[in-house]
Amino acid sequence: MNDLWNLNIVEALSGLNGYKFSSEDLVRSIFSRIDAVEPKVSSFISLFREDALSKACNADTERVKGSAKKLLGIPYSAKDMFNTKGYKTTAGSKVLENYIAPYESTATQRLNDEGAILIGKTNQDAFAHGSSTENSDFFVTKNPWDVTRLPGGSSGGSAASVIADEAVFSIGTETGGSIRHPASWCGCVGLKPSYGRVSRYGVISMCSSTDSPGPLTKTVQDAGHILNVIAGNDYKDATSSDDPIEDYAAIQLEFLKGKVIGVPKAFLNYQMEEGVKIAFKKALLDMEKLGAKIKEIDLMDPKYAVAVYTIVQRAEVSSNLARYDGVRYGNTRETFGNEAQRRILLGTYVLSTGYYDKYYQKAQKVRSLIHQDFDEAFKLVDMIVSPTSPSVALKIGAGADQAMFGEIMDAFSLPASLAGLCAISVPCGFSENLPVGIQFIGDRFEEKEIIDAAYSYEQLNKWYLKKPVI
Amino acid sequence: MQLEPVIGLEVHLQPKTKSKMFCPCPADIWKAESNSRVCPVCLGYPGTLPVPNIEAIRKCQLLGIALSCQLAGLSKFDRKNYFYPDLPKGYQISQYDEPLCVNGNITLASGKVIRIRRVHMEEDTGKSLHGDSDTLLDFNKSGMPLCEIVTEPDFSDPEEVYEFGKRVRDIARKYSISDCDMEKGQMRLEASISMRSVGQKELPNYRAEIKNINSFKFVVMALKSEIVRQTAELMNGSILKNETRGFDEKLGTFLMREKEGEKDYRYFPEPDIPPMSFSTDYLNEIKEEIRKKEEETNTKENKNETKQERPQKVYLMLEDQVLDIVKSVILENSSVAAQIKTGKTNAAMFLVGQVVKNAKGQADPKIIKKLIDSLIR
Repeated sequence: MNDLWNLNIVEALSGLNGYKFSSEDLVRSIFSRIDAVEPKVSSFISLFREDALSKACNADTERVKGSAKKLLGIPYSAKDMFNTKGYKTTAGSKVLENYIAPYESTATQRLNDEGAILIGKTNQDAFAHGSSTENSDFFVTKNPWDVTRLPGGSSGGSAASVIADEAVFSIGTETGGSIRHPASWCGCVGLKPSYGRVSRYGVISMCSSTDSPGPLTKTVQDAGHILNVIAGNDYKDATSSDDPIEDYAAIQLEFLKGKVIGVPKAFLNYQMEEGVKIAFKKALLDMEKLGAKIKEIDLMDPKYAVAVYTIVQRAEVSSNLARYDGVRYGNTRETFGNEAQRRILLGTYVLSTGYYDKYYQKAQKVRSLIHQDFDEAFKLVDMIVSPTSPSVALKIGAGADQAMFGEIMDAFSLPASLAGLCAISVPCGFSENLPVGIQFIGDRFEEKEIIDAAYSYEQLNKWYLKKPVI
Repeated sequence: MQLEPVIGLEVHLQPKTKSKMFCPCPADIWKAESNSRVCPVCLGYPGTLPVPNIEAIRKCQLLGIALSCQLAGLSKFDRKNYFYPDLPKGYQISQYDEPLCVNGNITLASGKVIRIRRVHMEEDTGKSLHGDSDTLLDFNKSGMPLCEIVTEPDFSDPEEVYEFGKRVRDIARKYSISDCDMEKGQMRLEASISMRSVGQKELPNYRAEIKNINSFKFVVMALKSEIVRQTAELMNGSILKNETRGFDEKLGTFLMREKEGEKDYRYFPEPDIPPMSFSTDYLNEIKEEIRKKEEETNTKENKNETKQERPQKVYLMLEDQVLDIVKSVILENSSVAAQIKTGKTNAAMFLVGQVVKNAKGQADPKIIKKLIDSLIR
């Protein structure tokens, strides 16, 4: 009973429903794990031990009475970007250090409605500005595989909590790579749904036109289970889509047979670590073994996506952060960290009269070219794969106060973000004992396609069975 | 040197809706306890999102048709960024370059046409209540829907502004768009005024904006007092600058702040609300609704005609005399005439206005229109 923290969603649900253990046992086990590893990993900004235990007891009672809730009694962590009613919601920022959310985000509400139990809020780069979690205004989260290294980001606390078994699953947010990137560096699964697939209501806005909440899980099928719960139209978010949702957890094996998988040449030519390249090429061979046809394709150089993203995102950030004006929330604008200040300045500049056409307008034009670029690619291939990040986890300090660190690390994820596509990162091996991630990019609202493909690939090597020793 | 005023008007109307512009809060804010009609969305809390009120948009489009505007098939919301304590998001959701309605007009009793540049939709701000030592904020008004009517600077007399304002109010009430109760802040006026030499075509290089005027009587008083002030300043050789002024019925207008150039609001498309597209069927429905209401009122008016006979204006000028003026106006405004030829028939109303002005109100607008139509083919 002591190592229940080890379980993934599918295993935990099976144990709970078979009365092998209770939700209370599971939550207690998770907190014993947190007590043991959290001092080394530092995934959480806040923890709700007592509330979680009392919710677990209620879940156990509910189960006996009979309940159809899909995640009844499963403990999870949420990135501190999600408004969670009655709990502190800081976005990793000093500005919101003491902000207690007065309402619940749609995504966490849907998880709670299905019986999932929030155990804590995870660390992140402040306002999700970064790809290291080093830009948190509070502390640095460490990579569970090597605590002298970074977990990636911005959902670094979420990814670390999952791979360190401090939560059965986590929910994060992605704007340019913030789910896929830490999933890759921490060796877990990270799903970035298509823009509009999951409601943004209650997620503190970073770049409104690309923000996408999504799960970080131990396995691909788990990600499907969570997407089943959080996906779907929300009347509180005018940009949420009414595209019909599917059963993402009903997985098809041997899905890759006959599929045409595109590998963008421009991505392979991009600067990346040798270990990453080797693991990725091995994954391509594996997929060929599974019956997939690998096809090199022409896709725009990621440097254009980096440029466009830098302008559009800064512009939206400068406006989205205007509400923290010092009148409310208890802290003045001097409280913003260096990275937030830099982004506000650049965003204000690119929207100013006389510069709008030169930067923002032009960036939007190139953004639509990136859309078209993918549209053309998906005429030739079923999906696109690439390494998720050009490197494995870097040493602590690598991302601290580096203005463009996030964009460089996210070069492979930014194009899909700007085009609103869905993508999933799964482990594809190790380089120097650190996990390497591969991402499957699908067309808009083709989550089913990439989840099935990622699952077929995942089952060949089952990298998820290998766990870090903390 | 004889001077005449050039006046443009902005009218804010609060359309009658059940809920606010972007959240489900009730819109019955009049005399409600402070901060009792608020929710996380209209308080701008982190993570909240705006969802447009379709009824408010429809009311704005009805207003557009009632003011002879063209309705846009494609439109969008934009963010207007500026800091103010009663603006909780640090930006106001408004419309910048693609308003819901454009190119309308109202013809005054004199026959003069006042062109309406645009009618767009936006959200209201909260209210600051300044005390001696502190300022209190009431967010009941925050996120209330507003339709903003912007005219061209076509007024040359405060009385025309008065008439225009009343006409807008009557129209909004007639089509149940807004109650326009000025005491309740449901209708607000802002006038821009500057002085130029009689006969000068170009706009002066300065203007004074008079804000927060809450009655038709006061708008006339404010403009008249401003005409006197500006004329005196100009006659004394002063150079006038852009400024924002307030109005007090005892003191006249007073300086609120000088405007150093145009403020940069860094407008950009609101990413939280997808662009809107309206089908032709939908837009036709709106037009039809106005047409039907028009018919109903006409029938009622016809029935009442025996009781309230409206005085007919008598025009003194003969058609030949009018024709001469029409010809000269067309010559002076050849670019407008060219626009009419390309199908912009609305532009003809501008020429009608010019002729009426030159004829000092003594020519029948119907005859003028007929002559213009026959000359520009």
